[in-house]
Amino acid sequence: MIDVPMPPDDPANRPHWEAARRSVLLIQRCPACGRCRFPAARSCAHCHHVGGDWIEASGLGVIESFCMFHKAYWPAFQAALPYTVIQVKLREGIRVMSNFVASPGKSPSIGLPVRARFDPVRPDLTLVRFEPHV
Amino acid sequence: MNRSEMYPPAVAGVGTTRYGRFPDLDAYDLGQWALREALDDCGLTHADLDGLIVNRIPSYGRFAELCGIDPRYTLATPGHGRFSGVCIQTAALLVSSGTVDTVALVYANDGASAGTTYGGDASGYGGAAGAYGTTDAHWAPYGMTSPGAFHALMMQRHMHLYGTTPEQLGEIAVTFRRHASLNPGAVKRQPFSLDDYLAARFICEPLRLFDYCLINDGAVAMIITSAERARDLRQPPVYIRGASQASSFTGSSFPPEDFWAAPMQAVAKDVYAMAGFGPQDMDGLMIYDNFTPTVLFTLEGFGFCPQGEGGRWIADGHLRLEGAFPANTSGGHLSESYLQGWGLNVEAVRQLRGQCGERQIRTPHAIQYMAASPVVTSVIYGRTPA
Repeated sequence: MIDVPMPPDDPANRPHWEAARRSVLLIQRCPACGRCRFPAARSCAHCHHVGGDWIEASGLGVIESFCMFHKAYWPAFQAALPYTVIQVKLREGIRVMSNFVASPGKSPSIGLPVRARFDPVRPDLTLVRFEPHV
Repeated sequence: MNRSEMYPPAVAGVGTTRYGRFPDLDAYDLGQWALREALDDCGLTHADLDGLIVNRIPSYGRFAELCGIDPRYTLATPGHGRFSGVCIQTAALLVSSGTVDTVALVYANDGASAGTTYGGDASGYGGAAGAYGTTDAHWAPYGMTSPGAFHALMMQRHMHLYGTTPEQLGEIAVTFRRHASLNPGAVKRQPFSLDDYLAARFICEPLRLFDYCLINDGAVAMIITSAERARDLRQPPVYIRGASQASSFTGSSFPPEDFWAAPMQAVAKDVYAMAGFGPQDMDGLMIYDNFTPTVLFTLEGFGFCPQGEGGRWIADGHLRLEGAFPANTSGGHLSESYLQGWGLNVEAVRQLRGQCGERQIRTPHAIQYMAASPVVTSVIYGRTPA
């Protein structure tokens, strides 16, 4: 998987992608109410405070759901079929979509504790994927 | 329809194109074709229209220009299936308030000929594109895309929480295909068995090929006017007894934890009160079936069965033509045609008029349309006024 589609080059999310290349998971937190959010947004959807801080997340969470793609909607994913997408809820209360990385024979399951790992997939892109956390 | 309405609304005319692949026709051609059919159905002309609501037609202005009409009210809506119910609700409100007399609602879809894949691209329909997962582009590098995958994630959780089985989902696909086999206008008419369903390839596991709706070209038009006016026209009026909407956008970048139960409960309460009917009074159901799990979530959310019991309830055969709540008698999006809710609303009207031939429900009085998504809508149609 080298030519994976790039995320939108959104200046608001650049701190997240730059930190991923240093193996750090950054998410946004509202300085007023303390709620976390991601992807980045200019204001908080809960308290409507304008502005946000980047904080380092624990990288720990649980799998809420998962699915396995048998169809490649992008040519780059053809060779990876079938591949798994997981929906993870982080300790900080936010959700992310990601991939599951584990030793052969280990499959994702709902409720499984996972931790973030950082996988460079292109020179300019490191993905935040998840592996079982025991 | 609501407490203060001056002019109770009714559906006077419906029109549909053939469904399939029409590479020589664009969305404007298809929309005009459906509109001509709808006007002919009720005996009105373009000159009688003072309202226009278009859905999935690129330019409302070009469409009106091509039709040669100058409405007093014009509205264009995005090509997300949830908007069929929104458009019908809006038309009913416009008519009932006296703002306009007669509204044409026109939907056209040239998705098959345009090569729309509903995943991966940024066409406005695929990749969820804000429809399912409002920050979807952010997750593209992880391979997450498509409304189908969004529903696959939801279904996986439903199976985990409640023990829902692939066989129970399969009953939906098998039933709607059997209904389509009785519909000469359906794109897919060859019945299949539960074994065929299970043997079909996965698209996004746990969802298989027959859990997905079709991709085809086609168009639909509806003419909504006051009940009083509709009574003077060519067809018996079908009364809009209730129409309601609720939403769940907060956190909607991700699948909803409650399978959209909260907005569905709000809409159910509202729409049954407006109509003066309860779920047990429905003679037929038209359930938005972009994917089979949506049907299951809808039945639970609107209270036809308890939360988590949808799979077992469906497996009992309630949705079959001979069952207690015949559903998607046209074959729906899964087998008749992908018309993003519009085809199901037309089917409700034709059933209440008694025009459905072999798939006719015996003497229906009330039929309910329901759509579950981040925007939930429902419309209850009746053969008699309130």
